[in-house]
Formats: sequence, C-alpha cells, structure tokens
Amino acid sequence: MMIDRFLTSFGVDPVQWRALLRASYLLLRRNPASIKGLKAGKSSRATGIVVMLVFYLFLGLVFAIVPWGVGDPSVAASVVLIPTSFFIASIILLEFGATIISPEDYAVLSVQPVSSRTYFAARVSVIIFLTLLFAGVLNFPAAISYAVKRGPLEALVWVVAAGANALSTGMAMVLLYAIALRLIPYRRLMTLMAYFQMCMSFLIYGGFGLLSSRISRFIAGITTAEPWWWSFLPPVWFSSFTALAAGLWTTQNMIMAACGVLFLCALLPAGMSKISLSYAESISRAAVLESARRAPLRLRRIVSLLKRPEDRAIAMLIACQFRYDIKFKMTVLGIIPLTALYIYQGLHGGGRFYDPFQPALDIRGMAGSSLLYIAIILFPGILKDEIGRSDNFQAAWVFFATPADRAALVLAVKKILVVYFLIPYLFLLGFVFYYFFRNIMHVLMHEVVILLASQLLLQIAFFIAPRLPFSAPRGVGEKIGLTTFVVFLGPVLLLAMLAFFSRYFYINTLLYIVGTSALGVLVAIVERLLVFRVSRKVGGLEFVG
Amino acid sequence: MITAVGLTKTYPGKDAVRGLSFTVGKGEIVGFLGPNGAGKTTTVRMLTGMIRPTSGTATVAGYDITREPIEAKKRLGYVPESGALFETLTGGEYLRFVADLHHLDRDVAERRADEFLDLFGIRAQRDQRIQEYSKGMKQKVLISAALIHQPQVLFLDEPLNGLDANAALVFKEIIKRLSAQGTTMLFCSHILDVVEKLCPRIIILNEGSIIAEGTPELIANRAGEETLEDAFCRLTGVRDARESARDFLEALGR
Repeated sequence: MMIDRFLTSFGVDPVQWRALLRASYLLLRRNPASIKGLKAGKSSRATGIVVMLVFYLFLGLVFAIVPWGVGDPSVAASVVLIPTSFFIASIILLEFGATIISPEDYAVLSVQPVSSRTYFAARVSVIIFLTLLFAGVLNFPAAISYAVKRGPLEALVWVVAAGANALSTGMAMVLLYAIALRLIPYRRLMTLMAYFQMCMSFLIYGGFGLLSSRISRFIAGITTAEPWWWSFLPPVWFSSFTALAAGLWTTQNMIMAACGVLFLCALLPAGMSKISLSYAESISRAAVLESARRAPLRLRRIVSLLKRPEDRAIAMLIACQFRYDIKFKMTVLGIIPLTALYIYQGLHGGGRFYDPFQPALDIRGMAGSSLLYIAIILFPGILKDEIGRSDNFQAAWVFFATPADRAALVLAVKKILVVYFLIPYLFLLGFVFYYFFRNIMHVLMHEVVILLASQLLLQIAFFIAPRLPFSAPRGVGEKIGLTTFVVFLGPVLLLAMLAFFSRYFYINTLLYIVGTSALGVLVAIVERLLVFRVSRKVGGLEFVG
Repeated sequence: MITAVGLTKTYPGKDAVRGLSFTVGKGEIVGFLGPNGAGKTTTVRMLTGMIRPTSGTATVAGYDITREPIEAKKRLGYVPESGALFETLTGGEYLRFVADLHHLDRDVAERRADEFLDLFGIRAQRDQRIQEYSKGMKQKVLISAALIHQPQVLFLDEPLNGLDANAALVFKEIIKRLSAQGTTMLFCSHILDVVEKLCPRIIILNEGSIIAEGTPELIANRAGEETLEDAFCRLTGVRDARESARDFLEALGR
C-alpha cells in the first residue's frame, strides 16, 4: 500500500503499473528459448536469461579474486566496475533493447488508457531490475571477497558504489538508445546494433581466450599505478567511494566521488525523460514509414549449381536468411573476426603451425598451435547451430506439409556447410599452412586429414542434434552456452585427432594412406549412420507451431 | 480422396480430436466448421501429415498419410491458418522454394509462379521480400504455393484471411473451377456465409467430435432451424445470439 501511495503521488496508476510489470516479467520469462520447440515434444526449461546469469556469475567469480590481487581499494573496485559497466551496457542495449522502448509498445498500448507516466514508471522499474540483477551477479562475489578482506562496512560501500555504477550505466544506455532512435531510422539502427552486437560478441567470446593470459598481467600492471585515462571513466569515480570508506580522504578521491554523485544525479532525470509512450509513438511512426520502402534484389547463382531440389531449396533459404536476417548475418560475420582473433592469439603467444610431418611432433607440439586449430571447427560448428534457429521458426510448417525428404533437408545443411564454408575456409587456411610448412605436399596432405576430421566432427554434431533449418526459436543468451560448447569441445576433439594422426600416421607415406583411408571409411560409415539416425529422428518429428 | 477413420489426437490432459470418421469424394468441396478449439486445425494437421494421429487412420488421394506420407504430400496442397512464411525470401523465391520441395521442374515452377502472382495482382512485387508484404499479399503467396504443384487435394484453413474483396472473388472462382476439374477440398472457415455458398456439404465439429454432417439445408432442418448460422449456434452449444447480446449489454449496465 505504501508503494501504491508513492506511485499515486507521482501520477502513476499502481494497478496499470503492476499489470505492465507482470507483462514484462512474463515476456522476459517466456522468451523464445522456453517455448516448446520442434524437438519431438520436449521443452527447454532453462530460459535464456538463466543461462546469461550463470555466464555472468562465472565472470563475477573471476572478479572475486581482484580484492586479493589488488591492494588499493579504489583500484580494486575500478578493476571490477569498469568491465561491469561494459557488460551491463551490452546486456541492456543488445539483449534487452526492446525492453527499454520499442515501436511495438505504441501499437499495443496506444489504444489503452495508459498514461505516459505509468508506462515510464513500469519501464524504469524493469530496467532498474535488470541492471541491478546483472550487476549483482557480476559484483556480489567480489563484494563478499572484499568483506572478508576489509570488513563488512567497507564492503557495504563497495556494494553502494557497484549499485550507483550499475544505475548510471543503465541510464546512460537508455539515454544513448533513445537519442539514437531519434537520430537514426529504426531499422537502420537495428542493423547498426547488430553490427555492434557482433563486435561485442567478438570481444566477449573472444575474451575467453584472452582472459586467462591477460587478466593476471593486466592486474599486475595496474596494482602499482592507475592509468591516467582512468580518471575519465565513471566507474572509477564510483570506485572512489571505497577509497573514502577506507579512510583515504585525498583531494583526488573526493573530487572523483563527487563527480560520480553528480554524474548519477544528471543521468537519472535525463535518461528517464526519454522513456515515454509519446516517444514510443514517434519511433513507431518512423518504423512504419521506413518499412514502406522497397528492397533491392537479385542473387543466387550458387543455388543453381546444386542438383538436388532439397539442397537447392535450403541453399536459397540460407542465402536469403544470410542476406536479410540481420541476426543470422551477424552471427556468421561474427565468426570471422573471432577466428582472426584466435589465429592472432595463437601466433602472438609464441604459437605457430608446426609442420605435423616433422618427426617427434606429439600432442605438445599440436597444443602449441591449439588456438589456431580452434578456428577451423569453430566456423562450421557455430553455423550449424545458428542455421537451426530463426525468429521466423513457425514458417517451418512447410517442411512438414510438403513431400520434401526431411532428412535430406537436414543433411543439405551439412552439405552446404562443407561445400560453401568449410572447403573455402580450408583453402584459405592452406596459404597460412604453406607460410609455416613451406611444403605444398604436407599442406595438401594435412588439409585432407583436417577436412575428413572436421567432416567427422560435423557429422557428430548433426548426429547429436539433427535439426531442420530455421525451425527452432532463438532465445536470449542461448548463444553463450552453445558457443562455449563449440569453442571448447569441438576443437579439443579435432586437436586430439590431428595429434593422433601426426604421431602414428604421418610417419611415412604408406601409413598416411592407411590412416587417411581408415578415416575416410569411418566418415563414410558415420555418414550412413547419420542418414539412418536423421531419418529416424527428424522423420518422427511433429510440427509444433 | 480424403478418408478419415477413427482419427484421434490426444495431448496430455486433453483430447483435441476424438474418433473422427468421414470421407470427401473426388472434386467435392466440404466445409469444415466448428467453434474455436473444436479441433479443425488439429484434424487438418493430421491429414496433411504435420502431426501424427494418436490413433485412427487417414488416407489422402489414396495414400495412408502415416505410412506413405511422401506420396500423400505430393498430392496435397495446404494453406495454413497461421500464414507463417519464411519472410526473408521474396514472393517469387518462396514459390521456387516450395516448388523445389515438391521436386517440380524449375521452368514449370517459374511459369506457374508468374501466372499465380499475375492472377492475384502481385507480380510487380515478386522480387520484394515477403516481410514487406501486407497480410493479404502474404495470403496470396500462401495460396499460390499450395497450388503450384497442381494438387489433387487441397486443405484450406481460413484461406480468405486478409484477402481484399477482389482477390477473395478470384479465389472463390478458382475453387469452383478446381472442384469442377476434380480437385478435392476441405475448407475450414469461421465465415458461415462463405462456407454455405461454396460447400455443398458441411461437417461441423465440436470438442473434437463430428456433431453434424450434410448439406447446409439438411443440417439446418435436423437442428430445427431455418439457417445454417442458427443451426451452428444451436449445435455447438452457443446460446441464441440475440439473447447473448442482450445479456452482454446488461452486464455492461446498458
């Protein structure tokens, strides 16, 4: 009742506020990942948001070591709060952008007697909830760690600093998003956001590779002195709270803390002023005007190269999804810089492609170039999963009501991945190999084995989870779990296979032929099994739309 | 051409369709009516092989839809109620896509696609992405896709959804001519007037079971009503429309 009175005093209808909050909660909970998909009647219970929370909790646990590794309280807090801001910004902007404000809001709510102020209050509540939720997951382990080291009172200030930092980041993102919507047409903004998301994914997922090697070096580097440019970062201003709590009342700390307070005071009203139903109306009008424009056309020569109708149909569908489904396009394009990152990391860290035909090369030699090999299976692996999903998954009814061989449709995806992605990729990689091996025969022979091994891994991936193309819903945060699986398990298997080959079959030509033939036979057998398995599994599916 | 015998679909805690048996002969147009949730779409999905019946059998164009689904699907066309399409494709590409799924010759598919799009007046938008189409234009693409392989049996689930008056007239004319040429049709709709005009025979479904079958006149007579509309209301347990409206307004205090 206190809340009701409080809301009413601000002109907010408490009943509508609660109804809007309930709707937001349900929409967040029932994101597409939890919808019963085309998985033979099974439903995924773990929603995307839970997967995201687990992922960020893992990062939070990494941050928990910071208070022990960095002596200065302000620097320790900065080391945690700077990346926290980065992550919260990306979460709010990219995963929950529509939660801030969306053109669809106006279509749904304009006919309802909801005042702009009520709408605003509900939106702000959701944003604050999400911001504090993720900030809590990211910062709570470090706060506990800080409490153990410096006592509960100082830890409480740490929590306040983290909360203020999260709120200011959330509001800054609201402001940024709202201004961008005013300046840039909605669809173009979505495209830009998708490109931005690609870069962020690249940084976040690529960060897995960088994390272990760099974070300790980074912390060691700043333990003694903060970089000068830190003074311009808002998270560092909030970190100064912890220094003050520790009794370090220097002029610099006091100025920085004051900057933090002022920053938050300025951002809160500025950000909140952009959350209104009338604002949603203006972007909704812009979106309608924009969608009236026509799109250019003409593609697909590659499709005509395929003989089997199922292959042609799927190739055309993938080509169009790639061209027009911005999320799909970004996932595909996102793999390229990620791959480049792994290659860079592999080479930069002293790694290199050792000629596997060199005598005495064993698993250690392979491990030295492991990051480089990760890239090989990463590309088709991520693509395989992404091709199974779409926001438009209900259109997959057409696979069930036509005489198309559903197993052939699934296997067409594998064929397209091998022909249009894996082989060209290996072709390019051939140049990299040649740079290191300086022996064209070794390059070719090694690539044949990689192609067969990658083909085998793809077969296993399809064997485990055969899925009709674009037939399952996309879910918030799903990519993290899948990417982790693909990033870690696939390359480990590939590496193990290559190391095994290098040790036992690259010794002489005869053994190479025997080994490669055996692998080829294995691929052929698994292909047969795969056809059988996919036919059984996909043939038994029912349409759940 | 369509035979259902004891067709049943059960979901946990719910019988969507219970022991449905009926036949639809060659060239016949049968109206499939029922209130929301009566089991029409579930029945059509079983008959098109999209879901498996819990029990019972069904044949389409002489082929058992469970045992010989591919043969049956080669001979059927389906316009779904959902209207879901792969919207990143253009209208022309979608028709080519469906034609490929039907293993149709590409030149034939192109020619027919042009003809259909022309007929529905959207040929100029052929190379425009479906996501930019209006609801009616999407429906025209769905209808064209259902007809492109010249099916012997058509399942039409609310096919007039979103069509403008001209397109609806054209489509109704197409249905009549296809029927005269021997195409069998199961026509699901909530618009009783349309069903009454197009379908010489009607099946009414309620709570997963057939509750009436016959010509519109026969159904009305058996229900002791003058029109199909009144008979439908009586049979499906809907109260008298005038009485319901009065109660509704009373509840609103008017």
